[in-house]
Amino acid sequence: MTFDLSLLARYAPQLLKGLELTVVVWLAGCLLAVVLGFALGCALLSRHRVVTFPVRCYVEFFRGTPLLVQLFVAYYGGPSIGITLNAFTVGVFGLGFYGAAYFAEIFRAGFASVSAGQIDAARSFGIPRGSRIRRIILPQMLVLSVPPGITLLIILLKDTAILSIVTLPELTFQVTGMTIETFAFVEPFAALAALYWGLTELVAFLGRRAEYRLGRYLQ
Amino acid sequence: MRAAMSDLLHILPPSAFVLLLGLITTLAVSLLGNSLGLIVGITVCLMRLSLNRTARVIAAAYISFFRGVPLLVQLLIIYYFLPIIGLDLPPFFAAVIGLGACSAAYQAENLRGGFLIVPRGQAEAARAFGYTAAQTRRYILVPQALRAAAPALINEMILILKASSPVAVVGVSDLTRESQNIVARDLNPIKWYLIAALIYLAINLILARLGIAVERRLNVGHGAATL
Amino acid sequence: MAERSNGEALLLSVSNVSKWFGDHQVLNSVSLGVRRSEVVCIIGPSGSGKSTLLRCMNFLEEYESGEILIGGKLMGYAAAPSGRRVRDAERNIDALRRGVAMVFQQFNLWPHMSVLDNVAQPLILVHGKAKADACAKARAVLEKVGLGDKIDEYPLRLSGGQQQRVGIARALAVEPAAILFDEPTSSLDPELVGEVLQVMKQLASEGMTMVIVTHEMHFAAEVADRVIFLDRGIKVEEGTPNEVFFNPRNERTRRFLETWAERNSLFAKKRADTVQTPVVQ
Repeated sequence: MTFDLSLLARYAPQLLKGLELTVVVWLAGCLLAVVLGFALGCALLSRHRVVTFPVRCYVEFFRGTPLLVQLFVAYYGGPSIGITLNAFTVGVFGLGFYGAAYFAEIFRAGFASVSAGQIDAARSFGIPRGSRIRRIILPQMLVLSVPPGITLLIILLKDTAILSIVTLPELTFQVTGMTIETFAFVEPFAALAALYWGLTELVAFLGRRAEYRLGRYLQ
Repeated sequence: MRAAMSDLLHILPPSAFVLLLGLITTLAVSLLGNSLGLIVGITVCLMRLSLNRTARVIAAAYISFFRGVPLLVQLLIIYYFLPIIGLDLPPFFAAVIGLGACSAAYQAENLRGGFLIVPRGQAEAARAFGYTAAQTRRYILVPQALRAAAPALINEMILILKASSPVAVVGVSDLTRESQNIVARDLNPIKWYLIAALIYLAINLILARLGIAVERRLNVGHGAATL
Repeated sequence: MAERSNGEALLLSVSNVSKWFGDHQVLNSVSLGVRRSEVVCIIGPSGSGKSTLLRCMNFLEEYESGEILIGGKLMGYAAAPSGRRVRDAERNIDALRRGVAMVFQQFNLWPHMSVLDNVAQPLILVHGKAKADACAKARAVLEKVGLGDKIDEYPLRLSGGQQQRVGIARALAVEPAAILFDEPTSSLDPELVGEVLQVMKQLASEGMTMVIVTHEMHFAAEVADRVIFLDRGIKVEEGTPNEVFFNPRNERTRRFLETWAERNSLFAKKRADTVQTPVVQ
């Protein structure tokens, strides 16, 4: 079996376009997921059931159902209620809403992990609630959220491949197209696997650096 | 069996029946994939913890690869690859292999966590009594590691179930695929895809409850972080 | 030790305070008064409510009945129009908390900030000091407790004794009217207890008003102006260290001290030797 590099060279522009789209959708989706997830995570801390119940339902639905089916609802179901979304929008919002459910749990757990004793100390000095949250709780909660957060970001990166099923021309879509055209199998898929592997290892590496930097005060 | 199936066909509306078949396929492929993943995962885990450097490197590479490449890509590779090496398996078995290989990487890591929890002193006590390394592993370490990792295993089942939906793309008639088929005929995509989603959700909630019950039974105190 | 000043207004006043956790009564009509520059030690078995009483004083715990007054003002509650009392507004509670600082058994330092920032933080956030002033004050106080060279370290890198001294510095920095100590040495390895007690002795000799929940009987005997024995939520005995340790009136006090003294023969010997000799000079 020979490995035809010239094949890859010929299709490089397409593959790079796919790669670019993968990264763009991923970053946009992650941004939405983090921001929305943070809001939901804070909501889960509320003492009022009126607030926590709907958020709980959201989190359970988006965590308990497959991403692919969620995308089908949006992409194929949208037009029937008058909202026709293109694949990119479905991709970003699909990843965003899905990821937000996971981030909500991560942030909620992060808040809960800040030890009660530290909050006691802050209260004992008469430090008001706003300052307590901003200076004592939030900084620590964010550092605690980084390890599971990075793991989730990597999962979302891999899930961009699923977007190819709803016709988003990202990397996997381009490669399957290439396979159909050239009847080659080894070169395209080797490249595909290698690219994803490289990307995820890169993000994992950067994540470990960030963890180290942020967590230095924790012996 | 056939008689029961045709009876069922008469009672249920056709769409519901089709979804039921899809669900059964999904459960079957997930369960088999999970089991394969456990067996391969134990092997990879032992390699990862072995004293042999080559074994450790191979295991680490395996784990890194199967956790770093999307499942869909892995399924496509196996789907296209098997015919090339002459294995003309139906898509169902290709999917089981794909899910199993991927799951093995995660299960290897879960088991490693389980091994790390088992206190070192137990292995030392076993060696002091004259157990060989292999005996120590088999009778002392592996059972306890499995016990510690039990909640993670159930969690893995839930994750595989959700992750299994792309097998629809490689020709397996699972729940997702069947719902696609219904929509192709029946239209009404929102209704059918939401129904499929809710079925997945229901199964996951049942499994989660099961997981809690098992955890309580085994009295394992560690909170397995469910993602 | 600082002399007791008679006839002065009480800095901290606890009157008939009772508290329940669900059905379980933790404090039963406890009363206590603390004057300026007094050192009051609270002793008693585990579960006697000592820490709970202390935490009620700065309203980290609510109390169901009775009154706690800080500088004459009711802590934690305001009279509602209906006559029954309701939980006071947070800013009123916080305002009263500013006069009373606390040192915790688990230190409760903020791990994501340096030692200097830990001590300066309350000054900045509550007392409105500018960062430069707060840090200058923090440096001075840290020097005082002997940690001048550790100001840029992070709390988790320090030993237990050092962390607790930072905790004391943090309390001192806000110049409180009184400091509450909740078993300050109970989490420390034995060889680190001394350095913390040393700092506390110095504070007492300088006239700081202190309420200390402790198991360190030697320390209480040496430093306290008054000792209070709490058992199952009831104030069983109150008096000078001499009275409580060497001449207890109540049987329960005697039994508690005997159990403790058996495990500390030095104290038992001292007790036998010095029945009538005053300890406080």
